[in-house]
Amino acid sequence: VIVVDGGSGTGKSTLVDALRALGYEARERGLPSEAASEGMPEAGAALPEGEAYVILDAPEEVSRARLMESGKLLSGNWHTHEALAMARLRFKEVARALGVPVLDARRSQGEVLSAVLELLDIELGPLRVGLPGGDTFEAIAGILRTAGYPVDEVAGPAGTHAAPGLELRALPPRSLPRLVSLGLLDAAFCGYESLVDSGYDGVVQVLAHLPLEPVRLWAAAASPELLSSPPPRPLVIATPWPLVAGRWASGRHLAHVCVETFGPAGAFAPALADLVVDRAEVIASCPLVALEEVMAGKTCLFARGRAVHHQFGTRIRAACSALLAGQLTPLRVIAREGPQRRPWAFSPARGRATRQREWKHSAHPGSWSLAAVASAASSRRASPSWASRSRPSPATTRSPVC
Amino acid sequence: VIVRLSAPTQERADRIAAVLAPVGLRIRARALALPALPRPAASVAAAARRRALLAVEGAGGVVVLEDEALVVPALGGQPGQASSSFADGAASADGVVPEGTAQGAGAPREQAPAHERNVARLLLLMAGVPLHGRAAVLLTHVVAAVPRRVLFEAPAECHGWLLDEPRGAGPGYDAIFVAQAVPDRSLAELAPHARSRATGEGRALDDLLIWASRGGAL
Repeated sequence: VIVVDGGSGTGKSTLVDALRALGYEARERGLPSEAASEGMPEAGAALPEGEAYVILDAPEEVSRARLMESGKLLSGNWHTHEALAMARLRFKEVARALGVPVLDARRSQGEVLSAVLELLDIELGPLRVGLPGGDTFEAIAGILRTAGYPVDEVAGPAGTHAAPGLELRALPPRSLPRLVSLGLLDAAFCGYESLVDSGYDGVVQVLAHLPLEPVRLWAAAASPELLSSPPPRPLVIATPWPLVAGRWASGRHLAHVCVETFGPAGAFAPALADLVVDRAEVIASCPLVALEEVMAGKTCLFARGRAVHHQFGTRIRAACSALLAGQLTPLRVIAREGPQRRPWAFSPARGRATRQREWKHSAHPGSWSLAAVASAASSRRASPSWASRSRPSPATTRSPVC
Repeated sequence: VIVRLSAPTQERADRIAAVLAPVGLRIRARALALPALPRPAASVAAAARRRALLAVEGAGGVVVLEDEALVVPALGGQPGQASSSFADGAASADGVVPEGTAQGAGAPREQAPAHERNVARLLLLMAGVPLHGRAAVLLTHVVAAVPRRVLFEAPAECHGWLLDEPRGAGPGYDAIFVAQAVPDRSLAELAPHARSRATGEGRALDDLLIWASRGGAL
């Protein structure tokens, strides 16, 4: 958010309107106003994440002339010559203390706007958004269209696609969290499980969970007693998502070594690994005992920097709400579940009791069973390659949670 | 641009300096002491961000800070943000005070370096816990900040387990932590570059180089 601050009659409202017209979220008054009236924040306090500040400054005569033009009373408490002079002094002190830039607001509206954009290093170029290639590309393009960003598909899934205000680039999904974290992209879409597995989930901000590609990851082993009576050595876990599996295992205090499988892990256990963490469909197709749900997720939109408060995120959320309300039915929209569970996060604020409740919850997931989930997911998927495969019978899947 | 570095050890600060050297940034100071926080932050990453902001407040320019914390789930997440002063709060926290050090039982507590006292306390708390229940996670966070603003951050998360006695000599908890990427040695037994790769710190420093080379610090 761009926060425009300063005394009365400096042109804050005009600048905020101009910034909003360019697609940026902007508002009047924030921390500098609070500091000017109530005192400075404590040492070491950060400016609020995702907020950029600018203070406008103009001589009292200029401010009073503008106030008069806009029909304000010059005799009001804050609009006298003395009050404006005092406010001007205070804002200059606050700007020095907080390191907030001060702009000369005597200039024209266009000049002030250009100066702000230059000062805040805001490019007027399009928002750089990463998309996963492959089948998901089409589904996300559908949501983008619904959100008012028609995608030019001439470039194909590997090229750069034009959409008003956006530069869309199709890239391998697992590379996207790092690119956003580094600032090489402003925002991106990928599976939530891929975001968590990248380790950058604490650095970027999730803006929306899309009703696409729901994934449930489960832990499974040859023996149902593996977790209650583990071997006296680190467990070997085979999984395509080593960090997700690692967080789950460490959260259960289990020393472990993760083997990244780069594909379905079902064949690794029990000969090559003690335990497998993989999609519910993969687990259901293997002669393994499903032990516990590790996480659930769907495709998500995440961002960092200027994209966090850009109208793009708001419009994508609105499009997802419209889809879930049944107003539109794009390809592969199949998830209508509640909030997602995060795997164990290493925060001192989350105590042991919380974790135990979560484990208990995940060991007794209620009315659905693993076989049912796998069956439902496979029947709903539109992929011909999946539909042509023979599905394992629920009766052959040994699951203690069924 | 003047860059000041803050890291747990001089060797780590030197490594950050080596990463930034090709970018042409001028390194003014190395291994500033990590600032203590007046109260715990919400997470290890948040603590690193606040430390960086505190470090840059008086120094100016850009501060690049590397923070590290060990999390032991069996201890409810301890030592966590208190990793560097874990033994100091022993009496008030749980009454388990290691009188000796990891290497010399019976030695006065005050004579042992802080990291050895921390290790000794952790080993006492984990005494009797079998290997399969000794999971631990080493979290590293690299942050670059200017006054009141974080410019860059990169996390690293290394899962492993705790030994029941120290192997090798190293700072922090290196002597008792085994990273799953190198399961036959403690971190203290690894060469610096191998340790960096095993803990994920190497990737975080790669990210720092990419960010800096794109003018992120300018």
